[in-house]
Amino acid sequence: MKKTKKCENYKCEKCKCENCATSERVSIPKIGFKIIITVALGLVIIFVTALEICRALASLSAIPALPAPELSEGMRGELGIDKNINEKTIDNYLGRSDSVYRDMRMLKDEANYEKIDGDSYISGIVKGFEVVSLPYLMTPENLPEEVGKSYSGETLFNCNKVTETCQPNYKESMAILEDLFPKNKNIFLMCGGGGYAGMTKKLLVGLGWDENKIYNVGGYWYYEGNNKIDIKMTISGADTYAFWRLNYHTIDFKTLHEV
Amino acid sequence: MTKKKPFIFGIVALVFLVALGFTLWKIFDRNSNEKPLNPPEVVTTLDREYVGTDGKQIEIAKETEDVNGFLNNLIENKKSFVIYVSLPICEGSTAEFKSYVHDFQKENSLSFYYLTSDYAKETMIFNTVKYFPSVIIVKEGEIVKYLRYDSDEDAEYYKSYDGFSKWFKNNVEY
Repeated sequence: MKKTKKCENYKCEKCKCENCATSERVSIPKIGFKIIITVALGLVIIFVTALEICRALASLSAIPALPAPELSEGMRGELGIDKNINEKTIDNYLGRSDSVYRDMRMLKDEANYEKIDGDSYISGIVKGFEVVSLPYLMTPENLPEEVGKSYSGETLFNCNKVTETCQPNYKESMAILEDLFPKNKNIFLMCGGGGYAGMTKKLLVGLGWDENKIYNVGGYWYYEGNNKIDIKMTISGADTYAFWRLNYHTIDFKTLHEV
Repeated sequence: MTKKKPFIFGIVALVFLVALGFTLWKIFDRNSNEKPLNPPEVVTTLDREYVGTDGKQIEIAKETEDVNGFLNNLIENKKSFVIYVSLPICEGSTAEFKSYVHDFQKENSLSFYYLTSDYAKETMIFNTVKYFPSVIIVKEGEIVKYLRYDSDEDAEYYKSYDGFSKWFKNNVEY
């Protein structure tokens, strides 16, 4: 049916529009048109509202992006301590589902830190950090002479100071490391002063981890935030170490297979 | 009116140029009056009791239980001395620093006070010095210079005997 402008708002009952007599024309009811428009508008409003609600919910559950790792100035930078995420700011980055938190100290270091008025025991930790002792991964270097030797037992890796490369001592070494430090997550590292954490980052990066996902947060000694868990405590006048408060990862070397 | 336009334009341009010139002159003049980036170091002369010794490490915590009182006494008496504050934990790359300081003391027959960071945290030192290890120079009861563990400028002074020696001799007379 060919329409002309004349016929647009009318419907022809008997004949082609252009042939209709004025008396034969019947006006199209406008109520139907209004209903359609109203329903369409309603749907659009509902859709937009739903979209905004979804967006709001998504933003609530979204994890904010982390600043890229950046070295601190001076000797703190030499240890690899991060400029943005460190002892002063770590509280803002705790509890992220896309990250793991590792404290690299031993529960009791075999090096005698009491000789330099330090503490060989782990005296406290930041909430959320789990203990993975660096000396079980590799032999730490550059410890103060006075404290003597640190742990000298088995390690997952054997590192060469000159070539700065590390080789696995066990067939399971890499799998254990990947389990403790998932490659698909951000990794926050701490220790007493930042040294062990720095060595751990070097080890991981040398073995293929993405350095942009690993943060040396620094040393617990400098931490003044709100998430301290005291491990050293005094009961009946004697010092006690509440290791039961720690999430501690141990490695049973006897069950591993040498390379 | 149209003949006046270039004249007005000229006046405005002249005023603009004068203002620009004045501003630039002020900027350069101010810069020339600013202190140089590396001002001359404050040179401290150590009190005689710390000089000509056998390079003794005076461990304050072993001398007294009241570390704070001991330090306050030195300050009240306007003493000029040096304190080494250590961080007795997994410091890694600064493990050798203490030996540089000690060797320097022995070679130059100077006595320094020694303190660990845990004690220093409870004293007036921590108001100024936040990261350790550090060597702190006190002149007539006031901290006038210290090695900054978080400063690029000071990093070289931590890394070798010569580095530390250079920093110390730039700041202390004995």
